[in-house]
Amino acid sequence: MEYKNYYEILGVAPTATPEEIRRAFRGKAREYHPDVAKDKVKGAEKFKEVNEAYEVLSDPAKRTKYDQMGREVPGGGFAWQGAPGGADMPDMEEVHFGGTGYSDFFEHLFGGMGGGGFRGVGGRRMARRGSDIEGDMMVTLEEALRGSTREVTLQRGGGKTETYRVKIPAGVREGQRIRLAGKGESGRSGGESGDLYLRVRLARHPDLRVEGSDLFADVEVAPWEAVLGAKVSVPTLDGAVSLKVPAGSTAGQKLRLRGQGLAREDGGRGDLYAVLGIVVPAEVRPEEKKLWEKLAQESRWRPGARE
Amino acid sequence: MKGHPRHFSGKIWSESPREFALEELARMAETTAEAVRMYFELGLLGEEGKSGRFGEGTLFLVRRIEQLRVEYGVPAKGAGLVLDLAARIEELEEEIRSLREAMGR
Repeated sequence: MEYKNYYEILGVAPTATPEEIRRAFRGKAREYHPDVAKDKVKGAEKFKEVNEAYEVLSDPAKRTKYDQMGREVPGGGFAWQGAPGGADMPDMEEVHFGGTGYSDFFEHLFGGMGGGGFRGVGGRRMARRGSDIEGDMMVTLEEALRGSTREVTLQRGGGKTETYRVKIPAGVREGQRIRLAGKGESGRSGGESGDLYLRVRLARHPDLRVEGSDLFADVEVAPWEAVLGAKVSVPTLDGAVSLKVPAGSTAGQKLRLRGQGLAREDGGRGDLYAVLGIVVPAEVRPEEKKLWEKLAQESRWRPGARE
Repeated sequence: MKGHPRHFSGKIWSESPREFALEELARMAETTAEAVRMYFELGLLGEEGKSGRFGEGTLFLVRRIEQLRVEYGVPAKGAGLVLDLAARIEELEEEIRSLREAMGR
């Protein structure tokens, strides 16, 4: 199993703050996002790697575990500090996934953290159906919206690698499991094979966040644009669209783009909300400052309590 | 445990979804129809199967209850609790992830 240096993948120092990690993720995720990368296949791979790194480093519990458990050692390989998760389970068959978007390294460190580690536990002698195997599958928002077909590889017990085409249905949700019948552990003494379940984890998008079937995007405008109205560009899963910000808009206000969200169970689509943020320039030229001063004098509007 | 079990937060999706009668379901999960009936009575499996047909989700749950019983020696009621907790943890992990994402902007 190859050690993954998540800090290197995101291009941050091991001492990086959460804010630095978030910024690095957004930069890299934009660079490799399958929609923009020149080489789509390589881009998609890198995008998933960056997502995996962010998933670990943005979660304090996972980051601590990662920092404590593995340490790269010179000359290849790495030193485990303590046992990887689930290693104390009886008769655990070694299972290696490929093509799920998560590395083997990630699966061993964090696989089944919440789900309870039901994968591949066996050990009885009578005829028995094989155990089910569970793994995580990283799915991009674009895939969740339109559906896709992925190639997942599975290597069990050091045997040869098997490749399966996995259909990801449009409208798939976080936490949903995709079942591959009979692809779990082989049965014993003539028992049937178990099933393979891939648990869907939605990859994070650099510009959009998910709530159910709705998407949220942050858009920033200048104070005068909020007062006078403006046209802004909003990222959607179908590319950027132009949105009219009405005059007199306030920070935190949500502007709805109907039907631009993820697929809903009833066959429709959720909405996309552009969440308005008002930003002020870090530096103002003297002429601009004069205008602000004039505005401060002219305006009778005073929000909030004053002394 | 009172009330309906949470089961697991996600649904099972399959390219070739199957439906089972009680005996088939029991056979697939390597247990007896009697045991599956008991799990329903204990409220471990929710509402599915009123029509006498069971889906992928029920099989998933029965297999996990059986696994907890046989491999780990957890009694059926306890297995229901374990599955509820596992599902709850999954839900909370997703919620934390989503909140953390919203907060960081």
